[in-house]
Amino acid sequence: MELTPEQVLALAPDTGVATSGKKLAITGWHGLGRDAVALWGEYQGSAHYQVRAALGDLTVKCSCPSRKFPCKHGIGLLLLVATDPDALPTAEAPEWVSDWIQRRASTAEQRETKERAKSTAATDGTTPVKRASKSADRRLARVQGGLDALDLWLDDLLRGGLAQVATQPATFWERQAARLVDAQAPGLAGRLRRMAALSHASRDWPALLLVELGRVALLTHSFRRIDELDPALREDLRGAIGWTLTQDEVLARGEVVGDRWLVLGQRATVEDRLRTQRTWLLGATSGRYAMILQFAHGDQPFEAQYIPGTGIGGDLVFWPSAWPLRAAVRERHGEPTQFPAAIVGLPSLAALLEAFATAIGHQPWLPRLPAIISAVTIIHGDGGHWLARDEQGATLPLLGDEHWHTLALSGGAPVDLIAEWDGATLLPLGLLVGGSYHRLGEGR
Amino acid sequence: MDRLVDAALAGTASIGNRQIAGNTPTAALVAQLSDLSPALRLLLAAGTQALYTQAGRAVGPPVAAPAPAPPDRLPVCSTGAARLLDQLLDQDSAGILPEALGRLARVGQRLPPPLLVAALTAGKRRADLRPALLPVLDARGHWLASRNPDWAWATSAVATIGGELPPDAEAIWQEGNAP
Repeated sequence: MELTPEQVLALAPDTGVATSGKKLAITGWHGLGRDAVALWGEYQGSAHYQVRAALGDLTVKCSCPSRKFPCKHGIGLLLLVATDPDALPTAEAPEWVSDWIQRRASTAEQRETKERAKSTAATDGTTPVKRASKSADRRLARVQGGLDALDLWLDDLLRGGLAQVATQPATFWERQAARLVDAQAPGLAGRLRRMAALSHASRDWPALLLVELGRVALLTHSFRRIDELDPALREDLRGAIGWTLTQDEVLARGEVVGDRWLVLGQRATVEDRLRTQRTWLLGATSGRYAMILQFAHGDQPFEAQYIPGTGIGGDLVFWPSAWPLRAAVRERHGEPTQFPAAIVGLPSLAALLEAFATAIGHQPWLPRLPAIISAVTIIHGDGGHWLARDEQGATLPLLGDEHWHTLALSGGAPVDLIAEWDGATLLPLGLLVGGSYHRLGEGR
Repeated sequence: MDRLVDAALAGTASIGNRQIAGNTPTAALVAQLSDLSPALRLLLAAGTQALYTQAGRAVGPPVAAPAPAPPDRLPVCSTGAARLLDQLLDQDSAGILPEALGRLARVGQRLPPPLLVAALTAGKRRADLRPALLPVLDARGHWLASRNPDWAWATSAVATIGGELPPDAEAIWQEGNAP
């Protein structure tokens, strides 16, 4: 295992677990061992716990009753091996470890057989396809009904003028959003909910609101002519409305790309207790970017672990799109490895803007693009604004006002910046300083 | 965009049959769409113009980069020491952080950059830590502190020495100015 302690700590579900894990990594272990696929150890605390970890995807299983995942014992064990690889001698796995590894392998096999059966059925044109097309027709009718109603509502709103929005309560947006959820267009519903926060939030709110409403009108108008669009762009349009392909559908017909994928960074957001995590990957050979989306409710853990600053081998399947980014991991090979010492990034911020212009030229609803930009200086400018400055001296603004850690790591010298660009601001996700990766922001 | 915003605020009902068009080439595209209400036409004009503007966005004008942090004088501490200090900066229930920092200063080592924000923030909260923190912040830490008013404690401590360096400046730098 090639993880640094910093990367192990990033796996902890919260800082409490990270802190306890750090303490546990020091003493109290016995029966430690490892083989080609797993690590294990027994921890004697107030009770006795059996802790095991699979090397492939760093899944941890512990006999303790904690509902945190991984628990502090799991973090402790991984920290122990990250700090001192010799602490775990190569040994034969005890039964409580080998049984677990076998159970995991057989579940993975079952899942694969099921997927294969599904994709055969899909290509054969047998059973589920007819039923699927019937339910798709029903959904199309509902979505179209919802969009018609939305157009009427937009028409009313603009006829009366946006000034009237000033006196509307938040329920004004919420009611229309709920109607769109009923019409199975949750993507549009989310856009309307975010508009509620826009009105009067800043001095130029009318312009911001008009732009957002304009983008929604572009969606409803395009959806009416969806059959005239390029097939890949049709998928993006459906996706923006909220009619996304399921992971199973994508596994059956998406484009497969095998590579060594560098985990560039992670970002998590919360909306109504639903946590969404974006993980950005870059193919070391293909040079392709990919985004893995994971969802979890409340305190539930995300299903898979991706550690920024490491590389994973495997096959990704991309969602069909005019600018494919979203992907699912179909198969993972081998253990996580460290980043290469250097990654070739974009030479300037202007190059980033050009890449974004090209991308939205293909996919106008693309929300953001990841990028690595070489030799960027982080600047805390006059008035407290944060800027990224490239080698030519040109700048773009950073999102938010807490970049002190980024400044500390860079020391005001040029570094390679990994960030998301959303058309307005840069959100730093990681830094490469003197060949080593540093993660920025929260990914939990 | 201003013209579109004014029309949107007032409402298309109040401006009659006047055509509201944007001032970018996308306006011509919207003009080709027939059988649309003035309201939806206005929205499509705004949506396409926003996209057009976004695609044409330019970088900010060149600015000079402020001077970077001067090179640190001390060697950085080991990763093991860094992890222990990280934990203590996070939670020092046993009250041993001042001693740990003191030992770091005595062996002539500094905190690694990833711990500087935590160290400067801890020093703001706990005045008792400051003498032990000052020597191990090294050049990068003091440079960082000089950029954030919240961390003025780390710069004013140096300023109190006066305009000129005292004869024992090197010792203060290495060991802190605690008695």
